[in-house]
Amino acid sequence: MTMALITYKEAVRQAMQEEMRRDENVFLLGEDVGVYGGAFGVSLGMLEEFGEERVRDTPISEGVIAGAAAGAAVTGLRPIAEIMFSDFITIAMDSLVNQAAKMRYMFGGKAKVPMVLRMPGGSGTGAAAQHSQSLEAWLVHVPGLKVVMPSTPYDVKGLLKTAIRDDNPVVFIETKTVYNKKGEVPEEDYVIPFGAADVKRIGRDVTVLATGVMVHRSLEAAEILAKEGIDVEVIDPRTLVPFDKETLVKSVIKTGKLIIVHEACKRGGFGGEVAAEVMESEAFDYLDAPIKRVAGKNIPIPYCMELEKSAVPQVDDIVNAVREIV
Amino acid sequence: MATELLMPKLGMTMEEGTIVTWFKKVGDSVAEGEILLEILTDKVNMEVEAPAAGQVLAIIAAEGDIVEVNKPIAYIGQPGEKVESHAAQILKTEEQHTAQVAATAAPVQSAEGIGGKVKASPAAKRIAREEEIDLHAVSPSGPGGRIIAVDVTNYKASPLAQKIAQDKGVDLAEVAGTGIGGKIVKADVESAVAKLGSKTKGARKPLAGMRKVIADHMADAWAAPHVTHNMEVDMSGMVELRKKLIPGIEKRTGVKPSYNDLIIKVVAKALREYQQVINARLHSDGLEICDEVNVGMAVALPNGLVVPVIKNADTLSIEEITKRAKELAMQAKEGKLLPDEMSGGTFTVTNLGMYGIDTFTPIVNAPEVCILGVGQLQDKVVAKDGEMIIQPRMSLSLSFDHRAVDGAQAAEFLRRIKELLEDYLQLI
Amino acid sequence: MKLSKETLISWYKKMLHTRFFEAQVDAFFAKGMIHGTTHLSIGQEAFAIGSTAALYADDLITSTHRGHGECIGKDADLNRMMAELMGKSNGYCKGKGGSMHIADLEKGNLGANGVVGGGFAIAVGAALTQQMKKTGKVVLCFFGDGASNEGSFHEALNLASIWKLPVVFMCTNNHYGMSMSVARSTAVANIADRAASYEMPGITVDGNDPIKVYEATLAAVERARSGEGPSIVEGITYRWLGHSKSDANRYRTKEEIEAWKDRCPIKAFEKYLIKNNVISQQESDEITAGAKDDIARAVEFAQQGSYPGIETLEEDVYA
Repeated sequence: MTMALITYKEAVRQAMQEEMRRDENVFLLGEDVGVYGGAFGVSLGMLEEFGEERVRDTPISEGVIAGAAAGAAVTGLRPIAEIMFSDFITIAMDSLVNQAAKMRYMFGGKAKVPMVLRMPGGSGTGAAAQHSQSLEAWLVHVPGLKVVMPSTPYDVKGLLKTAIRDDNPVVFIETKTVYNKKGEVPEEDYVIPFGAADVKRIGRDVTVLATGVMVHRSLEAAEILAKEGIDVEVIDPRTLVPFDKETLVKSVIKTGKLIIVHEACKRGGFGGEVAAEVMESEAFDYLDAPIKRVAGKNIPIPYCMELEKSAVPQVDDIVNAVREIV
Repeated sequence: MATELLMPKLGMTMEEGTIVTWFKKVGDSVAEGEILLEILTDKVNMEVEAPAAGQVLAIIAAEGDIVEVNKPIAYIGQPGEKVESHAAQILKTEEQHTAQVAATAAPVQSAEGIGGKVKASPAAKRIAREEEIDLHAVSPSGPGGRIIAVDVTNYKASPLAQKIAQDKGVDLAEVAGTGIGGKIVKADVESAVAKLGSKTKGARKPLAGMRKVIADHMADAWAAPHVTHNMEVDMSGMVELRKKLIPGIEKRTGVKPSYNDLIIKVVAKALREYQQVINARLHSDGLEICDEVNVGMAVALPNGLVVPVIKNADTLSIEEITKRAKELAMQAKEGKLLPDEMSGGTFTVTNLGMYGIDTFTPIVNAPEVCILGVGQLQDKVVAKDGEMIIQPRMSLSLSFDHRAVDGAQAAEFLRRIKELLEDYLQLI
Repeated sequence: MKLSKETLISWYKKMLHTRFFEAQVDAFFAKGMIHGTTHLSIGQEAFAIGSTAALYADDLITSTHRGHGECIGKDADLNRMMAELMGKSNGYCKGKGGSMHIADLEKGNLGANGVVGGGFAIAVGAALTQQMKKTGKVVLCFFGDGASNEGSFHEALNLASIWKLPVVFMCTNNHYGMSMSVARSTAVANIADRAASYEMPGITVDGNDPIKVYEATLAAVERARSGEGPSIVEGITYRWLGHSKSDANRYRTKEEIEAWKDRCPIKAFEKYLIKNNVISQQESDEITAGAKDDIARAVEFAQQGSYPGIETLEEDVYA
């Protein structure tokens, strides 16, 4: 397999381009995705290749972007809709939650809704409370949606291709602070199945389950802890729905300790769900310490960069949490 | 009840000790105060006396083992007496304590959890269930007094088995116990070790005590950029001087001055002269120019190297240096050096001449900045005034930390040593 | 416009089917045989049937919570409709959707919708598919007067207009959004006036006259099919019964209800058909009786159906 070193953002773009070349039913719509190239430049150059018909600029109307994607999907297209910031999912919520997610079930299994709603999430850009949220827990809660949160260029490409080929509405949360991070990505076509967690670092003493940018911070923390003789296993679930419980349970049985790290507010966050899954599993009897959540504070993301940093977990927070339970 | 012998804590900072030698074996009888074993901590060897008279019932830490302070290493008692496990004894003590408190004070919360429940992790509870262990009998080591898995696995093994398992890297959870009530005993761990051993080549011995200190120290020292200058010296004068000094000094002190003692004298004088450059110690926050000239002398021991220090060497006569050097060497060989006698050096002399080594590259004894390596003294043919003559000669190797000392400065210092060695009148 | 006898009779039949279907649902609801809630369109049949008559069989619709008429207009199977309302596994949605979610994708019915304004964006997306795939099909997007005050109405109409999508927005103006009248809730007199904001035609017709509804819809559908973009067609009609089963009609007078009942779209259409010699009174009576029989058969079909097994509970959440 030939590998290329590309950024996360390029990996997203390549996935869309390759799928659009492969299947003419796939198209992109969203605010400023055309000539502007998307607010983060993810779709730069795609208009030139695919034309206005398949790289569609939309008005600033998140509700209809998501809803039209659902309508197009249920009638035979495979839309990729971009929501400029994951925060704006609030405006598209009816289309996504009451319509797209429910159609198949409430119509008795007759409908397929193969749509992808891409959106950059997370803090770290100093953009304050309405452009920095991590709202994945809301979406995880809705049956009928699949929720993907890739952390690396390799994962984002393989998972976006799977998302586009999936026959269900997929919420695809891109980690905006790693858009420019490079990683090795195969040049050949590949897909990553949903529901397959990736053990980013094998370890013996404690399991750290992290999502999005927290995967990178946890790996950094693991290296610091390795110098103290603490061997951390870092697991990236990659898809929150479906969730690879098996890999996590196996790991917790091995280490006996679990720390869950996410950027979203701790209260009602995905970490609580993961903790409960583990408590209900056979791993319960192997827990040798209480499960710990290292998560965002229960506050809106503040503007001042120093405050913003303190609002979400940093490497030191993860290191300290591990030290506390090992 | 058998008396427990614990690894003694011999200093403020001592956390563990290495068993060097057991002078008694299981079954031997001992008198109270009799030397029972020798232990090593950092670089100091200490003899440990029997705390009670009786028979050695059990030795649970073998020679070479590293044991945490205040952990049991042996039991002494009456012939035929049963040795209770450490854990059980601790529990008993706690129970007694609880009983005492209960008797003297209002009802108190037990050390256990609320309502008499045991505070234990799910993993600890599972193991206890599987092994039919009563968690009330297990002492906790987890945060907040929680019994964690390792406490239970340890509980089901005898202290000796725990010890062996820890040293040999055996996971007790994987070992089946054959003792009473499924207790894991020494033999179980040993057979587990044998199984493990068949998979690996050569047993690994943990670096302990002095070896560990040396390993750490060397790793640190190696970080310094080292340069070594070599220079040959005409030792005719020193041979002559030593011959003259021997009778008097031997008569007064019982020992003869060695060439090394003479070299230390020379070095100490040169150090005083070059104090600002060479008699220094390099720390992370800067170079410390030392007032005292304290010369360390490397002494090789079977299991490593120690460097006792001759303090204020520049103020001592050759005779005083000779006497002090011999004392320190003797103490070193017996492992009786005190920490203070091994610290505070500003320069080190290391001599490999007795092994037939001519020149070598000594490693600076950080935080010192220079070390002098001394080679063998031998007669050599040299050209002098156009003629071949035979002369006793010796090589000196001066290694220096190039962060603190420049090449020319080191060369100048070495040349001064050569001058002093070749013209001992300057010592006066 | 010349319409054939068969065509007109089929409309008459569908209007009767709608009326009797809903009357039966009302009765069953009172007996507790149908649960949840149900929104009946009695009095509004002409708009649903006249509009859907302007479509080809493979054109599409999105409908509303009050959507039985549009469903029947789009040739739904009465048996499976009734079975669905009774929560049976032989219903349109295997008993998982109920009154508000009947969909028949094979016949182009993209579903009723439990959320007011929930269908706009879906209709626009479906129209986008037709445009991109060049199918020549058109989407009718049904909505009520109240839904035009939802944000989704404006997002969808704007997008449909700038992209010239083949969709016609069909407003069933029955005067009330639950209890709030159009006069109280809406800034414009007619919903069709809102078309002006989106640079599309808007027409208001008598929603109780199926022929007028048909003609207006057909014009809009043809415009859409030819690529000229969307329109609004608004039919003025009246909901005889309460908004839902919990409605005590406190917001309107008996007189008002009675006045509209006097303008019954079915009675009026029967009169028109007889007057224009399309059918005789006797034929009308036979058609009426036949329609009643069809509903009775649907009830029988539904009653014979079984409730979905518990094993289907978690099926069809994901494809």
